[in-house]
Amino acid sequence: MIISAPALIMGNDIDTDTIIPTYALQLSRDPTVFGEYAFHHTIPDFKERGEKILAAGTNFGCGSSREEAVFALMHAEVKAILAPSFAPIFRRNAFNNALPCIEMDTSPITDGDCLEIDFEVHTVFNSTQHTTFSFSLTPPEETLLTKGGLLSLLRERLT
Amino acid sequence: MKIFYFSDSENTFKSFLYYYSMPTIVEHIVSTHAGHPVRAGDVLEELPVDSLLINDVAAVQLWERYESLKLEAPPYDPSAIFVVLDHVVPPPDPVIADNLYRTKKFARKLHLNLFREGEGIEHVLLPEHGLVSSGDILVGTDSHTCTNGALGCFAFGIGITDALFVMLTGTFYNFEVPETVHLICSGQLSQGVYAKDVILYMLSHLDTQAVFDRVLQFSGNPVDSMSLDEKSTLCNMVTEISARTGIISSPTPDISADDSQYEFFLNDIPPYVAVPHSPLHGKPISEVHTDITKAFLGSCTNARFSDLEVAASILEGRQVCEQVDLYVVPGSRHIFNQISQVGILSQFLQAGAVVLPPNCAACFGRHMGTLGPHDICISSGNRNYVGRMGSKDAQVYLGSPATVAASAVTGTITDPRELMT
Repeated sequence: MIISAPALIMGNDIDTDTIIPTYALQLSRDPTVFGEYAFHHTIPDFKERGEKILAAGTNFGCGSSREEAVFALMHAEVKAILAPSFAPIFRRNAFNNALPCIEMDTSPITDGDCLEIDFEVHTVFNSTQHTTFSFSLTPPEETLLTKGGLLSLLRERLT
Repeated sequence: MKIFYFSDSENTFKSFLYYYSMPTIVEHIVSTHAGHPVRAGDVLEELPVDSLLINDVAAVQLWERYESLKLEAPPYDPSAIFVVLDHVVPPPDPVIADNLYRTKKFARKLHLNLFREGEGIEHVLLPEHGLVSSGDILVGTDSHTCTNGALGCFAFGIGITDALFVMLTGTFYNFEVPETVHLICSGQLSQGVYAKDVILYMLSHLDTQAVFDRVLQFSGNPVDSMSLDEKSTLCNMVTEISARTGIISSPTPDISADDSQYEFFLNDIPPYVAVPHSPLHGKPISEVHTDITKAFLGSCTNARFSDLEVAASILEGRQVCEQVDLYVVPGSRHIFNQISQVGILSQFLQAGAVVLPPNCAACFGRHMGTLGPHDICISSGNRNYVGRMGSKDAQVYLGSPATVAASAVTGTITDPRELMT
């Protein structure tokens, strides 16, 4: 699997209230609606923007355990998130929905850099800067990405 | 039960480790549940858990996911699942009313334990009803599930999909045993300084990388002498620094020399206030000079009986400042009843407070005191991120119940000791 998109740079400690505000959590039972509210307070036009790989600082997804933060990013068509570290609950929620969180030093990446993530060889190629980073995932994370998330595993486990 | 990624050489090393060094409390609890000894870094494909907590916000998408499976699978153990309606109750609009209706219907259909509207906040209710105890493993669809570590149980927050897995299998998928960092306290807190000040002080001083995804274990004389209410406040806020959870065990077990530890001398700590927009931005209260429009006394951090008692003692014979609205939200129906019986409720009402039914209220930012763009609030809650309590332009400061009460009286963020002499 190869994912490619321009990068959007974000700072450290992006909390889940920032990713999706509380008042949007129960507006609808349809999770695709959350995509409209991704970064509602800070980047109101987030869904319309083309940068669908986030290159963030440390501790991305801290705060509330709300999985709607992951639904919001997925339904705003975010393809992957790169950061030196992810808040523990957010990271699990993301892989449980097959949204890749890649741990790496994002400081060399600049806004709008075109990135290509190759999950076969575990590299992030920055085609703007002509640089390549390598990353690793744990075996369960690989499984979750391959199977399309924890619901598929749960279905297998129960049937 | 399977363990992933062990090479033979690692196994030999781990056998040595299992034999010669003391397990941490969490390693001990997980070993008991796994049925074999485990150490930090070990991975269990499935960790058996004792109980699952589901709140009204997570419930909506949880039921959607459950239905999407189209399996009609029964919960693994309905008696170990607690559904608490606490975040947005009573419903402020028809959509939420319908969500609550569905949640109640599901809980009853699946024979889950249901705490109805107004019973209280999830992390106040479980200890109050004796539903969690030392040595248990509790998971919940709320990051503040860590609060229950005050009882010596291993409790942590999870997302909706993980919760569905737990609900239907009784286990938590792909669990890595976390490392423990010891926070060892000594000294004695001054009058007017509380557990909330201690945790805000610690969060502002700890190295975030050193505690990231680890268990924070609190110990030492000042911790041992705290009430369960105060211990709950300590454990409640460890999630703000992205620790896995907090835990307090009594008596304090031996600590291995190779475990990470930090020492905190608490004698000289003044009241602390976290300034916008992070719970980690704690400052001594003498450095904070801000007029307020709102004071919020509630939340899973600080809405227990002793919190309300301290606040009431400061409000006694005084009035809430004219420019401020003080919201008081007891943590549970039981606590509400207690403050009513001992006259504290009446003290709040006479002081001019707005007393609201037990729920998360403005701390969750969805109703009952939501902040507008010009509001500046002193809150006994746990989060002051941009937009957390309502408008993205609101300013939220976090402090102890005493600080909230003192500030409500003066209209400016105030050291409660000034009103305690």
